[in-house]
Amino acid sequence: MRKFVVFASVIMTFVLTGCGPKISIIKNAQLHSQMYTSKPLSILVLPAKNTTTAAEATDYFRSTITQPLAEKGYYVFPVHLVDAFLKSENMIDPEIIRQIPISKLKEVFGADAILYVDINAWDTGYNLIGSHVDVGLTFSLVDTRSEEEIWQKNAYAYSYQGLDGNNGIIGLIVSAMVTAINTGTDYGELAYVANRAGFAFLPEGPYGTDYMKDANISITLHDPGKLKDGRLYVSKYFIKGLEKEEPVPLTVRSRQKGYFALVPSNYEFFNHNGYSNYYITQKTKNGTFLRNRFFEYTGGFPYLICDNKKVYVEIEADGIIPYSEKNGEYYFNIREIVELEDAVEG
Amino acid sequence: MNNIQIKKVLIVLTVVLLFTGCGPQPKPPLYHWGTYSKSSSEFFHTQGEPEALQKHKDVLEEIVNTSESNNQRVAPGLYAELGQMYFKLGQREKAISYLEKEKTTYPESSIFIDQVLKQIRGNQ
Repeated sequence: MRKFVVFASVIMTFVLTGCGPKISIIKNAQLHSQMYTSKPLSILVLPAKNTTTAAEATDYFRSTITQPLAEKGYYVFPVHLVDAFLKSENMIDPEIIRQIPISKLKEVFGADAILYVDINAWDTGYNLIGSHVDVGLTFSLVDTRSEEEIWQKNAYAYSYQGLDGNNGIIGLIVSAMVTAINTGTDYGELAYVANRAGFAFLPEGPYGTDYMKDANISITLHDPGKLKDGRLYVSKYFIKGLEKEEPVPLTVRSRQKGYFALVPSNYEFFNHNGYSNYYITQKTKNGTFLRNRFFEYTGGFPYLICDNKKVYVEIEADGIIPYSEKNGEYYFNIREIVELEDAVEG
Repeated sequence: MNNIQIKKVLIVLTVVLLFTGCGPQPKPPLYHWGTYSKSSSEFFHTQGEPEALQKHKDVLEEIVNTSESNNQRVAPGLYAELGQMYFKLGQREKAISYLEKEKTTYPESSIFIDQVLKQIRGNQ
C-alpha cells in the first residue's frame, strides 16, 4: 500500500507542477470507430493460438472467455459445442481451425464477427518471497462481411503468490514456506482477469445496457511519446529497454499479491528490452505480418496515441517498425496523424 | 488549477487505482453465471470424464433454473451447452428441447444450432 501512495503522490506532484507524464483523453467512438459502424451482435471465438511454451494455458483462456465477452452485451457461440461440432468435421488442431476462411465460418455459424486470440507471452518465476506468472494476450475481432479487423487490443495479466514486501526477515521465512506450500497459481483465475481486462474497453454489444451510448465514454491513456517537428519522439527506454543480453520478458516493474490485469498504453511501467524485441506474427486476409505489441493497430497499421491524436508510424512491408536516432534522441517517422477530439473539453 | 486540470488529476488517480486493482465497482452483471467459468474449465480438462460432465450439467441447470425463476434472460450459449451435456448423457429429447430454447432466446444462433440439431437427429 505504501508503494501505491508514493506512486499516486508522485503523479499528483507532476500534474500539479505541470511537467508530468502526458495523458490523452479520447472518446470511445474515436478510438474504436469501426465497432460503431460494424455493430456486430454475434461473436465466434476461435481456439487461441498459443505461441508460448505453456501448452496447458490455451484451454483456460478458452473456457473463461465466454463470461466477460457476453457481459459486454454480445452473443457468444458456446465454446464447448463449437469445439464438438468442429471435431465432428475433423477439425481439432487450432492452427487448422484458424485457417478456415472467414466466409466459410460465416456460412456455417452465421457469426457477425470472429474473435482471434493470441497468447503470446508466458513468463513464470519464483524467488524467496514469492512466485509469479505473467501473461500477454492479443485480441483481434474481424467482421465476417467485410473481413476487416474492427477491433484489436493487447492485454497483460499477472498473478503473484507469496508475501508483499516490508515484512522483514520473519516475512522472508514465512513466505518461503508459503511459496513451498502454495504449489499453484489458479490459471483459470489468471485467464479470467486477463480476458476481462482485454474487453474492458470493448464497446458494448446490443444486449449491453450502454449499447451505442458508450460512444461518449472518455478513455485515458498515458502518452508513450511526444510529437515534435513532424516526428514521434519516444524515450530511450522505449527503444532500448533494460539493454540486457538475454531475452527480457514483458513484466510489470512491481507486483502485488493476487491476480491483476491491464491494457497497457505506456511501456515505461514494464520491464522490457526495447520495443523491437516484442513482435508477434499475425495472419490476416492479406498475408502474414509482424505486429508489435507496443503499438495499437487499425486496419493493420500501427499507431500510438499522443497528444489526443492517433499517430500512425511508418512501417516496412513485413510489418517491421523502424526507428531513427539523432543527437541521442529517438523517434519514429510519421505516416499519418488523425486528430481526436479532446473528450474533456468536448 | 482550472477545471480541466482537476479532471485530469482525478482521471490519473482513477487510472492508478485501476492499475493497483482497487478501482470503481463494476456494473451489475447482465446474467446469472453461478460457477460457470470454473466448471467450464474443469469440463475442458477432464473431457469425457462422466463426473465432470455430470457436474457441468448440474451447474448449467442451476444457472438456467435460477435465471428463469428470476425472469432473467439465460446467458448466451448456456441453453445450448446444457443441451450438449444432456446429449452426452444420452438424453436426446432433453438435448433437443434445450437447443431449441437457445434458438428462441437468441435467434442469431439459429444457423449454427440448426446444423447441430441436424447432426443429432441424423444420429438416431
